[in-house]
Amino acid sequence: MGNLWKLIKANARKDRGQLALFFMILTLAGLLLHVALIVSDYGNVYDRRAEKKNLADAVLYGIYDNDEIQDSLKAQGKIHSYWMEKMILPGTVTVSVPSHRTGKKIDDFAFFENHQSDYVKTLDFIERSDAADGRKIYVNLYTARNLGISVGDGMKIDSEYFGTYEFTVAGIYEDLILGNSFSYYSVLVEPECYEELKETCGQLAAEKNMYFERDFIGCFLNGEEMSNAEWERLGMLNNGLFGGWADRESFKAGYVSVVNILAAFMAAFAVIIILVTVTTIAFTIRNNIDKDVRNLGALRAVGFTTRQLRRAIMAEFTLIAFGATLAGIGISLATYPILERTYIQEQTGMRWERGLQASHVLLLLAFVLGSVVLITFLSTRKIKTLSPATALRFGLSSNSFRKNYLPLVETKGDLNGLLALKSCFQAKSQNLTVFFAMLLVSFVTTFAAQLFYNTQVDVTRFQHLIQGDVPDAHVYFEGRDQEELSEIREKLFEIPGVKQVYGLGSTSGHVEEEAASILYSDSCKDVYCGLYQGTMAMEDNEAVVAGSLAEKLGVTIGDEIEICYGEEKEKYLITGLQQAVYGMGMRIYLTDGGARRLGIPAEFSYFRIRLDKPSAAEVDRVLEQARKVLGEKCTEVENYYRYQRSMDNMPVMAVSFIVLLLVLLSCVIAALVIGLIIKNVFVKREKEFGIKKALGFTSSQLRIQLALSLALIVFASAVLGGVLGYSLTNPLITIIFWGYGIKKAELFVNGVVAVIAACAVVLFTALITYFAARKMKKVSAYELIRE
Amino acid sequence: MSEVVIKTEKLSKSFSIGGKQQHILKNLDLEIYKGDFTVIMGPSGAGKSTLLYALSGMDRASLGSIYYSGENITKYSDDKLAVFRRKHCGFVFQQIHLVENMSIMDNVISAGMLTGQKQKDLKDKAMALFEQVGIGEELTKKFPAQLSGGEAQRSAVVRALINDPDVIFADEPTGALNSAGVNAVLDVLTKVNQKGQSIVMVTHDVKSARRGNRILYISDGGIVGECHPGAYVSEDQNRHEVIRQFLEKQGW
Ligand SMILES: Nc1ncnc2c1ncn2[C@@H]1O[C@H](COP(=O)(O)OP(=O)(O)OP(=O)(O)O)[C@@H](O)[C@H]1O
Ligand SMILES: [Mg+2]
Repeated sequence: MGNLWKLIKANARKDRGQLALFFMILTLAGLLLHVALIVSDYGNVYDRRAEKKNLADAVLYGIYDNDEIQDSLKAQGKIHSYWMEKMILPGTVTVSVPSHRTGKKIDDFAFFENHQSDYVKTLDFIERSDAADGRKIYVNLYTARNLGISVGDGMKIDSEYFGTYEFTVAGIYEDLILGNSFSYYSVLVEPECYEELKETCGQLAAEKNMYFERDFIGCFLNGEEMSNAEWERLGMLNNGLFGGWADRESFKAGYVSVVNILAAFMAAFAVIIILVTVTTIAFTIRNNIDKDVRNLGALRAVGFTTRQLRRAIMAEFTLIAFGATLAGIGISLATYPILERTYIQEQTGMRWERGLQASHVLLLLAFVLGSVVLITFLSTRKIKTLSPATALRFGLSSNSFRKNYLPLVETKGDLNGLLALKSCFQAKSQNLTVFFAMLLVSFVTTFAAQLFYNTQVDVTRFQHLIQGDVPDAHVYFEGRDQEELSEIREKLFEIPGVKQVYGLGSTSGHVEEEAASILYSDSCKDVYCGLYQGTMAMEDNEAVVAGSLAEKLGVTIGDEIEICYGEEKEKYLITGLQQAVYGMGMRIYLTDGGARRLGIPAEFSYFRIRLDKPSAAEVDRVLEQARKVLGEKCTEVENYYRYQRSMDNMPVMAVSFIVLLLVLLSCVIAALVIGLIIKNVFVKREKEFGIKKALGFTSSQLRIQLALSLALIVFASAVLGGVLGYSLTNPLITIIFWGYGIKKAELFVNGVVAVIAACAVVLFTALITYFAARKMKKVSAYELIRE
Repeated sequence: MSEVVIKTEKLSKSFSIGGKQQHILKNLDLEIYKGDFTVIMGPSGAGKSTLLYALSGMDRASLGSIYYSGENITKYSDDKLAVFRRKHCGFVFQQIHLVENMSIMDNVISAGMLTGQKQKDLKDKAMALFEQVGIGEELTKKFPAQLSGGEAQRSAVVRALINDPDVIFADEPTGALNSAGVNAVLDVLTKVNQKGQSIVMVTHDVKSARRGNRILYISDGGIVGECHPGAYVSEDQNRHEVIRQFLEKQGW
């Protein structure tokens, strides 16, 4: 053991430059993997917390007749208990907080009463300071992070119907039902305040026939599943007045779907990076063995067994991997809270379970160490058959030198070129590993560059992938009847630069047992629905369904499906299949006429507009025109083009940001790997260069030889990596989003970007080679030989 | 007195070992004369190889100057030094140091091509030299790792001679050879020396030292003794005794 340890130490001292690079690469890979594990764990965290908090299995919301709903709930044998809560949905409000001076318009705002109730008991306070002066308000974490609110801040809420309320934020809580991007910006107010709001509700109901207070009911099942139809029947009681329902799975989705996207991205990158790292380890070990074969032979000669030698090498790399993984975990633990606080909480509305998860650490160590042990075991196989005599006399390399390529006696040509070509042909197995490692590196770089383009330069396709239809502007109006609608549309169309004007509405329905969003448009041809097969629904009996929904139903283009909305059922012909991440790929597109067949009102309160040549300024111009030509009828406009590209555009921007981090990380790793490879190649050939230098080759001649002998491989791998990156970007994205119903991703893949990425790899390699080879110039021939 | 090819002035070389400076060559003044067969001897670790590397411009002196035909090569740039080496110096390393990934023939040819000699001429010239040191054509196609120690050392001698250098530095060129090999190599060196090329050779072996017309003894970083047994004549029996006595006096 002592002997082995000495050997490991001796090896480590010799390889320390290499090992340092390795350590960095593996630390980054470990960091990324650990963060991916943390991020992908939110679903479990949610489940655990939901159990602990005794969260309802499903919720109903609507305006119910108290007796009717209670009777129905009691009559439903599968529900063993329920709680009832009230909430006030004030409609559109403008919220002003210190960090958003201008005030932010919010449509989905909800007031709850801060009292002892079953619902309020499920809320978990993260921060609380009840000593605050003034009217107290408590906000959920999602609201707090998205509006940038801290405890102690002032918060002003303006509502058309309820007037202006000023609060002091007295606490932030985690709400596991209504605190995510799919639900409400919900807040708790003190009972007196809630009473006041409720009074206003009563007045509005009496005077204007407007109803703002809702029932919010949590149901607990006795173990038996309830079908969607059964839930829908309950949720839509009282004629479905603002009614609906959601089960645990669907409100959980609101918390975890965005982080799951992030986790998928991270996992994809982590896997590629691990592949790169493992290839590099294999390469390094083989290279070291070749280089040190005489050393190994000498050690064999003095009595070390091959097993001891192999173990020493394996132990050396495994120890480094172990240390690096722990370092990666450590760094991720230290930095994740920052990422969590600034980006992740905004998406999840949930807190991360702080601290180290033993299962993560074990999984990570098992994975990293397992692959390192395996790869070192395989790449040290060469040593097994190493007889000391052969090693000392011939070296392992003699095997690969069976043939003398391009003998100088017979081959005409420039000396540098010939020598470069010779060593290129002579080192086949090394070249193969360099090629493979560089291939992966240039593939990652190209993939990363394509993602960079799609998330930072032109987000349109990425946005489509995630959200489906994305217009350049919204124009809100009053007036609901067909005639007015077409008049408004005509007027908007006449504005120069406008390409498309269309309405797009949505509601929820189901097909067989599958709940689905039904989207309908008065101009289906203009809607971007992520169609990847077939054609858009044009007739009132046609439908486009999400690919994953079609799969679940076992139907495809040309089949007929029966779509249900409430009690209504109608048959439609599937003309196309679509995809988009949002809504988990459970969508149906109909024409407005098609929607009316089901009894859906299919009215629009705003039009979506697309321009010929969109830009933020152009959209502003068009919207100004729109206000002018519509006059009173136009209630509001929104420059959606600008919004799409702003930081408010969650979650696209959050995903973009994480992708940017991943892209940068892969570039760093690519650079480190290139550095390591070149260093290895150089170190292995250092003695050769020393001898040549002694014979009178100038250092620039030697540099040219080194560069030329690598050039062919680097070029070939960069070109192939670029081509792979170009052609595999969309398939890879498809895999990442497969679980979200993406069947055929259509991000931009840009040839120019691929070429730039490949060139960057080549240039960077050239640069690293140049610097690695600088030693040839700085150091005397004698020293090079000695090294 | 014949012409000076290499001259050193206060040549010093030190290495730092574990942060401590170790002085291997100390203020060494030396002249190497044109056409001489200079032999350098001395105890192991005395700095003989170090001196040879410095003289041939392969390693830089820590202090002092080296003049080659009156020109200070210590001031040369790295590249200029390389060009200087390829034209003027041939080197046979103690550890042989052939380039591993080239055949023996290519090792020799690539060195020759550096001075712009034609590939065709080089082949004939190389073959002639190989023949003199007793290496057949088949062997020249092999790689260094596939040769015996002696074969490799003789090939290294051929490589050092291919450019007809002014000075041939040989660091124990006979270390790995049997007596037939020793004689072949020494004969070649003697022959080129007789044609006018200067030779500086390090050796531990009195038999090899007999070839020199000037023997320097180096110890503790300086030249401590010198002996001039006259030009080499193969039958000269007395020569061996002269050198042995000289060495004995030095504490050999
Ligand atoms: N690069 C180096 N770094 C540190 N010490 C060195 C270096 N090169 C040589 N030495 C030391 O300098 C001393 C002289 O070395 P050198 O090789 O010149 O000896 P030598 O006289 O040729 O011995 P031998 O007859 O055994 O070949 C030795 O003690 C050696 O350890
Ligand atoms: Mg020596």
